[in-house]
Amino acid sequence: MRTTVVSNAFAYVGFSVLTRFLVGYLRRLGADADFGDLPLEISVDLVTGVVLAPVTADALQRALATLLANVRLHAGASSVVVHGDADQAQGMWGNNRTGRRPRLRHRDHPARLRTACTGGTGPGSAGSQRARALGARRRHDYHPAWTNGVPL
Amino acid sequence: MTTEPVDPDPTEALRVRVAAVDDDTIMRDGLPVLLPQIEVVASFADADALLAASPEAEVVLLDLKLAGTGQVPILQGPPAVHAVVAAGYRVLVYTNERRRAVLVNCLAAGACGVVHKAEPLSALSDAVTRVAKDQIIITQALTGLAELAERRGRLTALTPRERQVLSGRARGESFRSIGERLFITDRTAEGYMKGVTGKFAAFLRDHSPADLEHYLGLEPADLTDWQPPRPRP
Repeated sequence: MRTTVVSNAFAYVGFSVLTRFLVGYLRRLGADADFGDLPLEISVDLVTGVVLAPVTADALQRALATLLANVRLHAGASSVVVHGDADQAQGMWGNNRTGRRPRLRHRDHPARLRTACTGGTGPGSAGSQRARALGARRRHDYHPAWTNGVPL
Repeated sequence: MTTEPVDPDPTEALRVRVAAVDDDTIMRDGLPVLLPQIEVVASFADADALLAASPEAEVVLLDLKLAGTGQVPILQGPPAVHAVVAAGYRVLVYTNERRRAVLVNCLAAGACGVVHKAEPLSALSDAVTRVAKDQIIITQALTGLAELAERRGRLTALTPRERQVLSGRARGESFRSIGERLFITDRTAEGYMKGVTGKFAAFLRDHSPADLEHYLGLEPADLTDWQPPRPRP
């Protein structure tokens, strides 16, 4: 995992860069040596502007890595989708009539990551237990705020 | 691919005539063997040869990157898609290309679908059958872009049900799971997704490359490097 490097960058550079690094990390998952063997589809466009505290981002990365490790071990999937989303109820996209690219209005709204696998047997019991321990649901939903109590 | 591989009706599949364009000899010669349920009427090493021969085919399976001799620029990529579509063919792009901007460009140029070469053969066969029925086939990555466009208010024609199904598909959810969650059959969910892909393809064709870069958050010049020729008024 490269979380140490990324976390250091978060700590030194600040929130706006943190977000970019987080999305960049997620998009690099497919090419990363850790998960390069998985047929990953990374879909994180909806969380491009989400700002996370460094400790939350670090927990999220570790939890995602754990989920993917379990998918590798138990799912036998032909396709694994990592999807990120932000809660629209908290205010999603800013006014896009200004001519600028839509941006997230709030930096404190919840973000969610989800992995889904197809073509395999689904997560094994160990993966499900680990997911439950992280506060995730059967579909591998993951809400960072559930893990360490740090609200986004 | 976003569609569930479904065993097509064999008698129906037999009627689909396919012309293949691929610079790989094994692909050209191997397709009739690998896809016995599809009638491969002809195969060509480049798009120009296809256009010159004008075979009777309902679907053209087109590889995006064609090597050629390196001496003369050959017709390939989105311009090849546009030329083959202009000749009256339904184009199914069959490629290893993963860059979303390139795939968006192909759909904007009129392609009916995209299938990656890493997909199982059953997915390719299924896609050919669907494209022959004028359906749009898009990859998982493009489904994510469709959701982004919808979230940014650019696919206003979608119905509430279509939005729900798109949201599920963008997350990798199967039609069966979506159907159970929404209390509809998986066939009905699949029908809603057909509506989504059709409207998304129309959205891509109806907007300029610069607008698409803006709406879909693609890097500048990803799409504006090549623009389909527009008819003069």
